[in-house]
Amino acid sequence: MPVSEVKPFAQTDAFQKRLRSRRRADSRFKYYGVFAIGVALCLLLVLLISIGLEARTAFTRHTLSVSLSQQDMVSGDPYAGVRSDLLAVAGNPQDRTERLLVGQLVSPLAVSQMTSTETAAGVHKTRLPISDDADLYLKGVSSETRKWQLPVQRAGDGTLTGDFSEAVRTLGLWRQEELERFRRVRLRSAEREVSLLANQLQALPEDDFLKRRAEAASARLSNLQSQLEQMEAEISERQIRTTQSDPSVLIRTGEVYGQVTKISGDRISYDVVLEGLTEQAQTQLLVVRKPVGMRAISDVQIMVIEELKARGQIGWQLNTRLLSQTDSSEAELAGLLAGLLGSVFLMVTTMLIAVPVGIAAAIYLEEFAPRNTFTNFVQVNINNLAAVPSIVFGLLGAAILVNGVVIPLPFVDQALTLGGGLGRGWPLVGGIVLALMTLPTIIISSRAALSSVPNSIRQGALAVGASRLQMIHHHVLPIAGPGILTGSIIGLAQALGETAPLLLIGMVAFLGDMPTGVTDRATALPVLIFQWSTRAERAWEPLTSVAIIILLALMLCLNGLAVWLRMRFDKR
Amino acid sequence: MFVPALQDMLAAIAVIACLAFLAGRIIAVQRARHSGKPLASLSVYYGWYCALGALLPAAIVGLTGWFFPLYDNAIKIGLPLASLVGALITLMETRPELKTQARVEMLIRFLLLASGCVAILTTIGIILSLVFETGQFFMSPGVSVVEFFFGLEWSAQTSASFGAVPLFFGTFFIALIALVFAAPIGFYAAIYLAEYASPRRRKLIKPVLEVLAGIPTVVYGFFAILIVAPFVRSCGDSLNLLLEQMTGYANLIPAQPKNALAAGAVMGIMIIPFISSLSDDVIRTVPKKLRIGGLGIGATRSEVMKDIILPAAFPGLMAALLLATSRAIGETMIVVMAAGERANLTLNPFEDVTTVTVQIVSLLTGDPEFDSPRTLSAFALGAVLFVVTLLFNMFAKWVVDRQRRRYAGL
Repeated sequence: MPVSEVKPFAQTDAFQKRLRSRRRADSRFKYYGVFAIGVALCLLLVLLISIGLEARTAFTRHTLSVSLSQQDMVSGDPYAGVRSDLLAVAGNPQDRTERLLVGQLVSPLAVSQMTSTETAAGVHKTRLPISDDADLYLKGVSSETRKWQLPVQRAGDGTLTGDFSEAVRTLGLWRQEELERFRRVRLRSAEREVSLLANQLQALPEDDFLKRRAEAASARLSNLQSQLEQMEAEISERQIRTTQSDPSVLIRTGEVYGQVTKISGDRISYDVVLEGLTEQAQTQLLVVRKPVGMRAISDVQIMVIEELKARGQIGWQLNTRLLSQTDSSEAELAGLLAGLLGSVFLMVTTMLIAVPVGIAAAIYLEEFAPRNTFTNFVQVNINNLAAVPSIVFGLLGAAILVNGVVIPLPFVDQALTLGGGLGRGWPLVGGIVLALMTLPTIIISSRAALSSVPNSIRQGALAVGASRLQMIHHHVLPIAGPGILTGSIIGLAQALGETAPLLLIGMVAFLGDMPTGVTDRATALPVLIFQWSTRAERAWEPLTSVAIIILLALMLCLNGLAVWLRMRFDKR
Repeated sequence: MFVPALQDMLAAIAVIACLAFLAGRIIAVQRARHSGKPLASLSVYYGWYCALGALLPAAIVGLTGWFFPLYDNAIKIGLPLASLVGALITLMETRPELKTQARVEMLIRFLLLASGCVAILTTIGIILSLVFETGQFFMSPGVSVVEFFFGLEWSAQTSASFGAVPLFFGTFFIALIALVFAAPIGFYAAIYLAEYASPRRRKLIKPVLEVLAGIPTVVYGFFAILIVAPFVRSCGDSLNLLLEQMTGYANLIPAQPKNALAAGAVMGIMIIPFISSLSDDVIRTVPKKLRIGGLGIGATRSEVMKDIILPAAFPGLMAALLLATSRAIGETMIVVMAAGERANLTLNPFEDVTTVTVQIVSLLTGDPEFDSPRTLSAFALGAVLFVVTLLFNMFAKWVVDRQRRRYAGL
């Protein structure tokens, strides 16, 4: 073969193929990295968006305007007046549970905290926050609801005729979904149980207990099947019965509010629940998808709310209580003020301790410390302190600041108590703990800022006869200042979000208490977030989210300030 | 006896210090005028000297008196007294030829040194509190060291059984789950940032990733119980249905509303930036020469990364993982909110487990009595936590330093 026909190695097909695959591997590797960063950023977005979405309902709240007579105001129990108003709206029901449920629409606490009243002709008008469950219902959070206004002919007691096909269709669709789930979960597991027991029975035909269980299982299965058939029949006949475990269908017609028991395309049967309401010309059909057992608001309450809404007694306003009120056991009354104030006290204490001490330590280490074992030890110590879990600082606070360390003395029957004496839950204690925790951050960043000051400045100052402290005070600190400040602010922002050590030193909210100073029991914003997140009612979830948004906004402000300072510093 | 409040005492000291400043300055100037001698320092320093003379004794008396409780009320009166005495002594000393600038600077240097020692004092304080409370715990009746470290049953709230193995297990289990989520993402992100990202993109991405580390953990905890835990639970339920179809046994891996997987996954999100920025630093300590050499013999960038840089940086990467683990072990709020309080030895990530930090919080919230073993056990757990995280950190730092030293010459 002539030499000219021999391809250079790099042009052989095998080589080119391998090169291509190597390059593909390279770009694949790069995209793994892009993907990883994308995942991390997506997670961040998901976190922020989900909290934002959850919070959106808590920025406003619904209020109920009531008018109270002079007598209600002076009687010392204005709640009784509000309650009788509500009962009057509901047509004064006689049933005890109904009266109770109607009364729960406004909590007694809300009435006792009532502030602004307009007085005109002996009647006090005021707007009260409505109960959290009613509020969630009005916001459409508690369940999917549908409403129809219908012209109807009345057809005697307990039945109506008219065109209800749309409502029936909606109910039929929901029923269909319910059926699917019913089949998938309950029926299938029952079938499986029957077949399992049948298999076991084949192996042990003499076992009486097994036999009885198999019979019970097959009875249960046939029961379920007949239920299923009935439900299917109802859908196909377009005639739906509603029970406690189905969506509620409520009807408002004439002077009554009723609970629909059977609905078909042209006919409704209902039980009257509330009577003696104001006469209405139109008929309204309201369908609430979640069955009664699965929501916090009962049918009677929904009826009263709808009635109040029709009368224009329900309004909404911005949820300013969040920033103007202290914590409360009722979600509709709770606010963050005590936590915010506690956090302010905490931050001030932390700042007053951590910033001067941190800067002083940094100056010592950077400007004065001789290079010896002791300085080395201090440095290692600071680095290790930065990695100690925050909860350990809480233990330090609980043991040394609050309780005191009890050291039993040998030989004498006594114990020495070191430290202690500060109160549980004081912002002073929390501030000291957080200060010790942020100290390493501040020291490390301040040292970085100090060491970035050029040495010529120090030498120049010393050359014209300044003492070393004067050099630091007049020349080094002004240059390093913004950098030190940036580090300090970032450290404080970290401290603002810290929760665990505060729990250990007892900075836990007392309902409604405002702290008066750094030596008074207080709580802090993140602790309040933690406490709200553990409360059971559904309404606390959006409130917690709003509290989180406020906390994140505060931290963002602090960090933004730090970034702004750094940018100015960099420009110089 | 009339005992004034602490605030009043502090205010009194502040007033004394201010007066001492003014008096010191005026006296120095007056005496200089009378004697005709020039002042050895600027007049301000005489003021500062006297003010420090008033403040320092009070601070020393106050801090030592609080730490070694002498007489509770005597301290409060002793504070302004010490301050007054200090002020008087320095005022009497004040004369024009006194080199107050040197003295003030010496005192300030002493204060700077004292600030530097605060870190040491903090460490000593942590050790002191943990050691003595832990000692008290192990000496209280019905508690044994062996049971604590090897016992399988923990129910400190109800009965007094302190076998902490389920807690240690739960802690490491959740940390492991967190690492499984965070390590691949963190490492790949670090590789991208160190090797592929342009400086501009790097400058943009790094702070955004660090936002993940800056979000308060209580927010992560809420995210875990709001979104992740219900999602994990429904996944667990569907998985159970699937397993039931395959094996015939119902509920093989029971899923709880609070579960280890949710807590671990959310904690994983939190530690991604720790792993990525630490690994990024470690990768960057590998000398450029190695990289350029690799590229020079025709390797692609991924080959250089996989065959040269990562093996060289391997110990450092493991150290980064170790640091992240120690962060995960010490993390509190996420697990308090999402992991549960039941001591549970299980390998099923859909069940709830408890951790050391959860137990510390649940034992010390409310109004704990500091002489019951129930409360003291929290300190024993804290001591274990402190020692383990400290060892992890020191080991990791040692590894990173060694790597840095090894490549320093190249």
